Amino acid sequence: MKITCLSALLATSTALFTACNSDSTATKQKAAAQTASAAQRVYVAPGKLDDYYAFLSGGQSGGVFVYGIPSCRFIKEIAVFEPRAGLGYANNPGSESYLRLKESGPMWGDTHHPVLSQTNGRYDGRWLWINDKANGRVARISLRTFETAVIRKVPNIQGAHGLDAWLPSCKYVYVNGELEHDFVQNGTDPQQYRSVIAFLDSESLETKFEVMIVGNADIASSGKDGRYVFSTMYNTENAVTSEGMIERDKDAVAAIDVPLAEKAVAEGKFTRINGVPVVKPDEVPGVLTLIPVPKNPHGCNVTPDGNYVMASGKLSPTVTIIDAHSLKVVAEPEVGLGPLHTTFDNRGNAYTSLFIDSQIVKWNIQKAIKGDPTYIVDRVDVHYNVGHTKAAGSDTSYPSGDWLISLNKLSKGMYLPVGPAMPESQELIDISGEKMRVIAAFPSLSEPHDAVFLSRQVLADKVVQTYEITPTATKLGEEKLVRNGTQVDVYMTCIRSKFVPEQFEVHSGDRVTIHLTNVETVRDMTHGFALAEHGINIAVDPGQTQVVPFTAGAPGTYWYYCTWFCSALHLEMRGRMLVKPIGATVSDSIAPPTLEKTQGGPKQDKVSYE
Amino acid sequence: MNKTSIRISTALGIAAAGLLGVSLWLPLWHMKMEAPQYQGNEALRVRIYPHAMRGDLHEIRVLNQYVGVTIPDSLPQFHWLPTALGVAAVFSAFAGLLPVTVRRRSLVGTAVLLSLALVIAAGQAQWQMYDVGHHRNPHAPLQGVQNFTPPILGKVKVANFEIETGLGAGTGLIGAAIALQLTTAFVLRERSSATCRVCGHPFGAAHPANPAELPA
Repeated sequence: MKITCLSALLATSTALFTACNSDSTATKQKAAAQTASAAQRVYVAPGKLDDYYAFLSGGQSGGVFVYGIPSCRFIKEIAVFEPRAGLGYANNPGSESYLRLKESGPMWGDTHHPVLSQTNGRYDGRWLWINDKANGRVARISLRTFETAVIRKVPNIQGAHGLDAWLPSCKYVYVNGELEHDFVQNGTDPQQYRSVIAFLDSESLETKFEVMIVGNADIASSGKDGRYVFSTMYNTENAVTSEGMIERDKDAVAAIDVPLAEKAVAEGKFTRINGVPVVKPDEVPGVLTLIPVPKNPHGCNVTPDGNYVMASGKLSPTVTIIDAHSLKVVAEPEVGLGPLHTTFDNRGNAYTSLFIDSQIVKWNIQKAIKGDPTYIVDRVDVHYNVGHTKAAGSDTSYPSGDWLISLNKLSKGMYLPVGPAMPESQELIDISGEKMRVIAAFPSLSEPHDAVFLSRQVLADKVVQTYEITPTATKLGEEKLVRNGTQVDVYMTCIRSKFVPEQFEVHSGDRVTIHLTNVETVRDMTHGFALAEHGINIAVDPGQTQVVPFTAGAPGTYWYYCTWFCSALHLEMRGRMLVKPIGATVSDSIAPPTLEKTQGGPKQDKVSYE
Repeated sequence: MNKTSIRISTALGIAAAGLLGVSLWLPLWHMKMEAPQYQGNEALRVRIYPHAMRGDLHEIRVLNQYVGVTIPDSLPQFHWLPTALGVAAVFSAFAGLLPVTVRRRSLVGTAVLLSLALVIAAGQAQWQMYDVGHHRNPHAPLQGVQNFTPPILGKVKVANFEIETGLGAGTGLIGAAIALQLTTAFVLRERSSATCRVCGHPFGAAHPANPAELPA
């Protein structure tokens, strides 16, 4: 009996074990198959191009990161508010990029929201705007060159947070003042603290007018019909402590009637503050409408059809759906803990990032409005604490519904440990099916806050391969040195593998300006110009002219050399700045020394291999 | 000789002249240079016209400095080829004014001379290509590149470049013009040796152009 029992037990356990084992094998196989299919989705063979550009704000890195999607390959950093010596951007005092950045404010910025220009509800591939939250600036990047074209300081703003373009025309970009202050008296009395929503000419970035608010404006999203722009306000209390900011049960979504504000400015119903017309809502009724939403909302996103504004609850587990025309709240579906931002596909679904739950939740907008309890479609875990999320084309009228990016605040154990601080992490999610699938994760420098996708078709043939030669550029064969007292201008060219001139003479302490034109005619043939012991490095793209002034150091020989490996003679691509003592004779000639002279010096003895 | 044939031969002569005229503005020959970093529409191209050399010459000269190759600014062909083509075109256009028998011979002569001009130009070009590939600057920095001669038609590999050459539309037009001239000459020959279908009298100088004027 005992034996029978024992064998029965053994048989059962063996069967169980076998079942378990085969089950786990099946699971493993399934997981492997899923991994393989996910890997295929992001595999872009060397030499093949990605379908999308993804522009990620660089946060405290001060620029914009460009990635390829779906491969998640890093392609470029666009330097904007912070010098990048490697790119020769704003690192040489006196250079154009340095002076432009310096004139606009500090040499550092905190970029948050990349915004693409649109025409007729589609991205047109002209510009990308980006804001500097810390120093109240906005920049415009040209998508012909992927370089910063304009940087402007916005008056009366501290904490320029939300940024969007006024749709559909993109006549203005508008930027929200998040940090309240007294910009009239420059005082410190919180009673006088105000914020503004500033409207900038989208091309020149000149501030055209502002609308004053009590409290603050945070995240921005434009309506699609040329009337309202929306902003969330988490501090309608106008408080100066975090306890004070969460005091009220309700905060607001602000709707600015832009044509009405324009009319008020045209009719003179404004106060000019620091040179900018500021419209005060109590003087112009209707220009500002406050729509109550649960306290301390965060994201604000208009649906692609322009019918609704979604205010994500942050502290409330809900998204408030507001009619973008009547400004009435139509529904407030519960989506999960810590909803921050909502983005959209082309099939009537919204995707909300849940910071606390570390999830993206997909839900059906119409079902939520109708009160259908099955409005939640899917949830997917992300790693970890997602902030912004953005689906491709979500802020146009024609989202593509294929990819979504989750910008996660913490990466914990996602990558090889590199010290206490881990890289920022993004995840790429396939949203083309009913169920979402996390396909890939990729790290970045700190710290992308928001992202926007641009189909490469939009930029096909629009990205320039070389710069147009400007009239002031130095032509090959017309290089020269112009000496005017202690000011020395050297008009130099470079082409594989030579700087012309390869030498010039100055006095110690002279103010030297190098005007360097890259006369290459093919793309990617960038040359650098580093000047030893002077801290100078510039990068000159084909066709481009860069100007860099500096003061010549102590007497001696200082080599300049190419920093972008260009050719078989890259290392030989160098020249000498000959610095003579003050008062010594200097030559204005830029001709290279004669052959005898170059061969005249002592040489390494003949190398022999015995 | 009937009027239709004469009209046809005149028209063909003018057409040949037109083709020759157009060929003055079209490339006779082209060269494509492809390397891993110069692929597809970034491949370097040179087009030789009767009077000039065009294309990515700037970039090719930049690259040539490493292997000591010097591309001439001009070719001797540019001095005589346009004139040869122009004279042939004028001759072809006005051949219709010449008496029929002279006309035939002169068209054949023009065609032969044109062909000869093309052969001489090509021969010169082949020598020039041998020259650039062999008489290189001995101080050129890059070692390990063998002397080379790109063919007039075909492919060759030089350093990291695949060089492919071929004839251009201009050469095609000149060929067509030669063909037209020879066809015209052939038509004239046939007509001049034919007999009149009305009277059986052989066509010739004594025969009136209009058979109706013949005595019955």
